[in-house]
Amino acid sequence: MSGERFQDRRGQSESTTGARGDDGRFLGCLTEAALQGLADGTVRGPERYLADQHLAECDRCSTELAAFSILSARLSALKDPPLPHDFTAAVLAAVELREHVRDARHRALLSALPALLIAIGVLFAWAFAAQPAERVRDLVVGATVFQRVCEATFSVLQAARLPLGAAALVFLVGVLALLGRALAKVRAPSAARF
Amino acid sequence: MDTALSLPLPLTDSLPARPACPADEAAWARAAAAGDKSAFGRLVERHKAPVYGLCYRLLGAADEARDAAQETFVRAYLGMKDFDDGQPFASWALRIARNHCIDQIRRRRPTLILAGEAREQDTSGVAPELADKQAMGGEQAMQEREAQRDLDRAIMKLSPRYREVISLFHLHHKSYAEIAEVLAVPMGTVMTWLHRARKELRAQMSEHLS
Repeated sequence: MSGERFQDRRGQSESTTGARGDDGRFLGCLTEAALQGLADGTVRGPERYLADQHLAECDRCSTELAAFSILSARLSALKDPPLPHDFTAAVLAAVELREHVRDARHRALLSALPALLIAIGVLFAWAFAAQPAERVRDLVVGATVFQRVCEATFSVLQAARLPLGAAALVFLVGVLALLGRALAKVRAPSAARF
Repeated sequence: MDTALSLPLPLTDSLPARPACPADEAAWARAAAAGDKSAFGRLVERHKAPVYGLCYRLLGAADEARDAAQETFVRAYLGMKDFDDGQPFASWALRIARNHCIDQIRRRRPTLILAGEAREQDTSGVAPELADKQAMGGEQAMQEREAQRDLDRAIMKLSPRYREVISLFHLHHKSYAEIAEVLAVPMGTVMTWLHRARKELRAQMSEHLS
């Protein structure tokens, strides 16, 4: 594994064993990863000791290490532009505004509830009422084309009357559940505020 | 004795456990989830610098970064009920910031280069403390400032993921584990990105590093 960290002067990687001399010291140059670790101080213990031994003898690695050390120091010296002093206050104001918009949206949804319920009720009643096509036909006497379109449409709808009614029921239940949840969400923050 | 790995390991020998949320932050987060805005304000105060820093390094413009940081905290507050106080708030907020900035970058890709160019003329992000160094000679101080400015530009030329790791590791002193948590990648990937980022910076900054 350490062969990736230590490589010979021709740039070829060698294993730890292969790169060592008889006295246990590393013979090859340190890789960039190792040099970066040394510059950061994340290389420690025997590995650091061996690397230091190598650095004492190798100008190339010493120069590289110096470059990475300067780079690390420069990176640590960088600063982001300062944030405005009222940043936190601005965040809290934005939160307040966003909550207000969300509450307003919920209120609008709730105010639309009666109209929605009536519309669904009408659809439901119509789906189960008798002969709606004839009633409409009475209303549009004379408008032949419209009458035919209506007849065609209603005959299709008549056939699908029960499924439509069932779908309306399911939709109604879903809408009521969603509105119930929305109501709970609107009430909870209000309670916390007061 | 088998000593080394290919990349420097963190200071702890064993694999680090998932970073935990400090007790005070967990309490603030719970209070904020219940609607306590002052508790949330404390969280903002503590974490605004790294969140803004990450936004700044990703977006490259101070104004955009400030707006992105603000949006990050607003989203954090609105989603506070989903926050797991077993994890650090910082990681969670930084993840929100990162996702928001990536969305911004995708949306504004055609203007990003222009923003980066405009920023090159803005020296406000470059080591302001250097100007205060009275002991440093005028010419040396100027060279130092120029080097920091070049480094700033070099960072902006890196890919976003490299900018992220550089910002979090060097500017905000996050550990490998914390960065891995934020970026949702293995720790080895963080080390690899950091290594490659510094290698690129080393190549770009060669004249200032000799």
